[in-house]
Amino acid sequence: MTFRGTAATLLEKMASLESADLEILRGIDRQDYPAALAAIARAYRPRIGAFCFGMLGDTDDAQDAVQETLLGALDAMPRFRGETSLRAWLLSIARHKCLDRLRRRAVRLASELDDETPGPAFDPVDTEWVRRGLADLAESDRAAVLLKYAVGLSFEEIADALGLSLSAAKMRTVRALERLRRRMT
Amino acid sequence: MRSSSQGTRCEDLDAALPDLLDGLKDPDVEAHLASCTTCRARFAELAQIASAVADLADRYRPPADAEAALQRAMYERLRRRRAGVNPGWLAVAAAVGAVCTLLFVRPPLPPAPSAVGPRTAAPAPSSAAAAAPPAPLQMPRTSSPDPSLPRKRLRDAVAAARKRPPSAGPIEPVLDALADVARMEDPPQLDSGFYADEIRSLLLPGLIGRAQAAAREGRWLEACEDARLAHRLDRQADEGETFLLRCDAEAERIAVQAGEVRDRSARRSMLGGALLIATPGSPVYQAIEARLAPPMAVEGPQPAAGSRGSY
Repeated sequence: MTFRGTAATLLEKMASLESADLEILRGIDRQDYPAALAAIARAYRPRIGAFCFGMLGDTDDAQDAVQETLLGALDAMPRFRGETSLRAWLLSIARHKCLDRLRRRAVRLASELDDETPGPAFDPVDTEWVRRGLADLAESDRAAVLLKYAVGLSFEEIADALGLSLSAAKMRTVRALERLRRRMT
Repeated sequence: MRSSSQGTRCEDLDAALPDLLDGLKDPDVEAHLASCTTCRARFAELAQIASAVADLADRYRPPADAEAALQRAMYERLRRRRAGVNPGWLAVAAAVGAVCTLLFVRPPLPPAPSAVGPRTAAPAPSSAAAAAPPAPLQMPRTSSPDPSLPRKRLRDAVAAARKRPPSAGPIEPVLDALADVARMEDPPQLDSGFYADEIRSLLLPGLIGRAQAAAREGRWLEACEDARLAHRLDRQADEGETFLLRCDAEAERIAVQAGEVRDRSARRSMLGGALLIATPGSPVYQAIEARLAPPMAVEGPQPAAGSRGSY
């Protein structure tokens, strides 16, 4: 038994969903997984890419992680029950794919940077500053701040994606932002 | 320590920040920010960093061939899954391999060969044995701690299947049990007449019945998978052959519809679905595959944008 059966009720409850989400959910419900994946790629590739880029700090790595995320979603579709939002579900997969890649690197992203070189001064339009700042954060903090401000998830969705309580998701996100702010000084 | 007239203090800001950064306004907090330069500066800096993180995300640009790469990877993944690489499908594929091996490939045990002289006339092959044997799937072979267990499972599964109508027969337990048998280093002899025929008689109607039910519900992918299994079990059976023709017709219908879709991504998605329904190697399958074939990588200058043909 897959998503089918619960979908009708769920779809009725989701009248306010974006049309792209409805298209994806209907594809999953019909077990038309290729169509659902194509719709996911159209609607969510930029957001997944932004997250992976922020997590990995490298465009090529991010692209590979996006591809792995989408294929991971294809594999996981039969088990998707709609218990979390599509975005939270997808970004949770993306986070695990990024973690896999970080583990495969065997070093933290920060250690790839030349720690002897002082980082650039804070400049709100300098993405290199942000990239370095994110690289210095713990993975879970980095994920939280990216999910919130790069992807635009709600705190409830972040809690789902990271497996946290709502209050913990809020605290982790603001804590990560505060750590970035301290780098400014 | 500063506080607004309503009592919001500097240390209260942490708890208020998530909502504040989300743009949710609280009169108490706003009053505090208006009166406390430290908290106001802190909030402004946090908002600036949040905005910078959002801007960083805009730096990500998917490569131009991202969609084509995804399509290729997706079809490859689904094809591998269908071929039995995915663990879920592996059990089914293993079972098919086992059934084919048991029914078609393993000859009946011959009498002990004579040390000298020509072999006596071999027994006439059965109609099943005379059929072109399907290529047996290569199964990883492992030792079983107790060789009798898979056979017992198979016996139990067949016994359970006997008690149910063929159309509702529990196919999976039989398939799983056969897969266990196939993994054994020394599969027990299960291919003797009646027993093999019974396995086939249980599986074929069940598979075809399940395929027909799935097709009625529009689940053509599953329907055609079952039909292909049935066809591999018995290439002489009309039901399997007929159903595969229906699969090709459905695939062709989808492919024709796809030709009328203007959105490239949606069109390729439809063609991909049609490919999974079509019978591998059939003219319909080959035609769809040709339409989905990615453009060949070229050395030297890249073609100008828009010169990649219809896909």
